[in-house]
Amino acid sequence: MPASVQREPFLLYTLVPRILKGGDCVLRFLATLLAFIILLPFLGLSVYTTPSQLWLSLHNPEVLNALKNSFIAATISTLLAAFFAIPLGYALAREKMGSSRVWLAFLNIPAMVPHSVGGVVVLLTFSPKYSPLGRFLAERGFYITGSMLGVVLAMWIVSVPYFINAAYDAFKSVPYGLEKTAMSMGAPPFMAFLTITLPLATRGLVTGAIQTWARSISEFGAVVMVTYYPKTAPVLVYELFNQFGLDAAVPVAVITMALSATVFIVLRLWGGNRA
Amino acid sequence: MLKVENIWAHFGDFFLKDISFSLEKGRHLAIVGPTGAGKTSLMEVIAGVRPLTKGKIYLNGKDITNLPPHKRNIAMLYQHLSLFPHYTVRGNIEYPLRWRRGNHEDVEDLARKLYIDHLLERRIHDLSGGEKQRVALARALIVKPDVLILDEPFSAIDVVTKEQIIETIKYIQELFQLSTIIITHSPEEAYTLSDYIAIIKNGMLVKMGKKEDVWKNPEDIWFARMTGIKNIIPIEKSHLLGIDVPNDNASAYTHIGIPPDSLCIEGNVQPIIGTVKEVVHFPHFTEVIADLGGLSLICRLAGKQSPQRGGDITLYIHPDKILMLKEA
Repeated sequence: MPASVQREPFLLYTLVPRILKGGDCVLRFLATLLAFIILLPFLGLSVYTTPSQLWLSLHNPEVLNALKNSFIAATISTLLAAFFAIPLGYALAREKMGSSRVWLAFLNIPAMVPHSVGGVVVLLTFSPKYSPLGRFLAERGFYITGSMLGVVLAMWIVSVPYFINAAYDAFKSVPYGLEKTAMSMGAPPFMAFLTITLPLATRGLVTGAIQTWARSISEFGAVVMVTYYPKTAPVLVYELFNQFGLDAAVPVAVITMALSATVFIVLRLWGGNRA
Repeated sequence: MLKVENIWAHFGDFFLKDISFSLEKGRHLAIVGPTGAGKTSLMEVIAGVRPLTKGKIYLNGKDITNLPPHKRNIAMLYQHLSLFPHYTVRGNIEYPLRWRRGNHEDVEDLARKLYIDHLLERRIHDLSGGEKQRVALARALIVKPDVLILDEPFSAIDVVTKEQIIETIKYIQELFQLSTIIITHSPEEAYTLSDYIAIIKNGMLVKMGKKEDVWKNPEDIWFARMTGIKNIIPIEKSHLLGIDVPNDNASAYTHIGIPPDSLCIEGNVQPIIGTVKEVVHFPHFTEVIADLGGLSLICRLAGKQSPQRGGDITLYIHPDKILMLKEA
């Protein structure tokens, strides 16, 4: 090397980047370890059962019915949550209802309390035994005990805060200036919302819908408090475990997990492509 | 012609008070004023985005006071452009046509005029700052507005892009023969792009006139600073400069302003001697801060002259060019 060429300082240009690179390795190791800790019990669950047991469970009408109930109720609950959470999230994001912080604090109560308490709230509000609203609904043929309505309401009460939070964040991230510009060009307020704000908030709303659906399908505490029948997959797993032990519960648990994960992954990928 | 008559409006605690002015077709107005003075609010009232409580707005003789924004034929371009990121350039330009019927520019033709015809199918994220500005201008011009309002069009852009945009706006002003109103903080932009300058403070129109008149006769300290006058001195200290200004308590004038061209190092008036406190060299001039018995004067010298720090400097002030100023 010619004497005139100055060497770069070793510490700054060589050692520090190497340490930082080492830091990256530590970070990657910890992330992988955490992923294993989370996933391993679930993978272990699949090893615990046999293909023939899974096959038998898949042909058991009670299992199929519970899965069907879970999927239908979670989907209706998510749609119902979207119906309320999208306008509410928008109104809160645009500060049309006073302090959004206070509102969000109250609206998140169902997500913070034990889910069995959510079930108690649904019972006290909608059961003909405890409330005039329940009696009013019962007189018109709507019962929450022993009906899909009860399952949907129980799922909805514990999952709707997830959609409200996601909708609030999604709309908050869309600058109001864009809507104002659209209106200054002649778009009526609702059309400005529909053509500008809603498409830009789609990614956040899809994430909210996925979280809500996932929360709904996995709900046990609130559902079992409100109505044992029609049985959902988590309730069936609990019942099989109680009556016949772990061996009987595992195949249904694996099928529920696999189906939920598939739907979750598909929705995530679809949601990612949408935005 | 745009005519604004005795406009009153309020937004929370802020009021626009009795504002009147008119702007002939094809002429250009710059609105200047401190932050929070009500410049953008006034323009939003004119564009119909905000309501007014009293007053009338006429455009080409027609009363547009109660018309919705899209029926006024006034386009407003906001500071942050507000391009819709989920549409292409074409989608953005065509957006106003979804809601406005009638006479409009051809998209391809307008894009060609603004040199963005090759960008029509691109996404907004893929454009440079200057291209985004031109797309936003195209979107504003597609409906053939009679008045184009530009709200601080040069904030947060680099110098090169700013020069390009200034050229584009001048080109648009000439090509489309429309009236423009430009809200700006910059005196240079106001002077370059307008025929008239209006000053707004605390929700009131304090002065409006031909740009040369407004520029040369700033009446208060704030606007004097805007026009580049750095030497603003309280009247009671004017004797240090050898200037005799009557300090009349009844008068509203509290300061004197010394424009850069009235202060030099050669002259035939009474000289004043000061000490050089600081010398700052710029590419085309040198700035000297001189001390005159506790009073600092900033003096611009042409070229690369370099007085010694701590040495004496002789200055000449032309008394006929001194400005009397009110409090800001």
